Amino acid sequence: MTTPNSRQRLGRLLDVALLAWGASSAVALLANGINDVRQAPGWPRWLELTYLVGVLLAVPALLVAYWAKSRLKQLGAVLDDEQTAATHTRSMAAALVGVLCVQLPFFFHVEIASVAQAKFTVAAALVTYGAARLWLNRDA
Amino acid sequence: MSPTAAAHPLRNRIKVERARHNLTQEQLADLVGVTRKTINTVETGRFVPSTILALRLAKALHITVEELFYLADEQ
Repeated sequence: MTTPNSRQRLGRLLDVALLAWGASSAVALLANGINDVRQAPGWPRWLELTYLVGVLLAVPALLVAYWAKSRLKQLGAVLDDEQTAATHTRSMAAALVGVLCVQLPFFFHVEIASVAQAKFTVAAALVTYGAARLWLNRDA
Repeated sequence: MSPTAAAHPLRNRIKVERARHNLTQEQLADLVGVTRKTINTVETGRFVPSTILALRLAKALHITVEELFYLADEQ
């Protein structure tokens, strides 16, 4: 039998899984980007380990988030409403600012390999979007 | 008063009415078909609800919208 408490727990699990997915994906992308910037053959062990931990956390976290979301839908929980839409819009605006900040080195003629720049850009978007959502939902 | 609350002149009596009806935020959210976070952010004045949501909240709490929501300078 499902209770409001079990739905609340599932909701929290979804939040945590999404946070874990975003953070670990960003870490994996950053590690990959840093390795690209090095422009040296092979990976330093600590960087490779960071990258692997990021990937190994991101994949199951995404699967858990997918499962929790579909389960919540089955239970008839409301996942999206006008407040979540407003939070999403404001977080997207914050993510855009984050992405623009990562492009700043380009304007100061700092050379960064474009393959690394792309990874840093996506990582910045994930981090600023997630941070903005956390901030906007800080007490909720 | 928080800077956010100061920016929005809309005040509400959701917390009082919830207590009067012995409802949790989760139960009220279920009644009006929104998330618990929405009830929380409306209640604390960080989110200004749409007219539709304001009407639904008032109906769920058995009072009028004007009784539930009011402007800060009308306090």
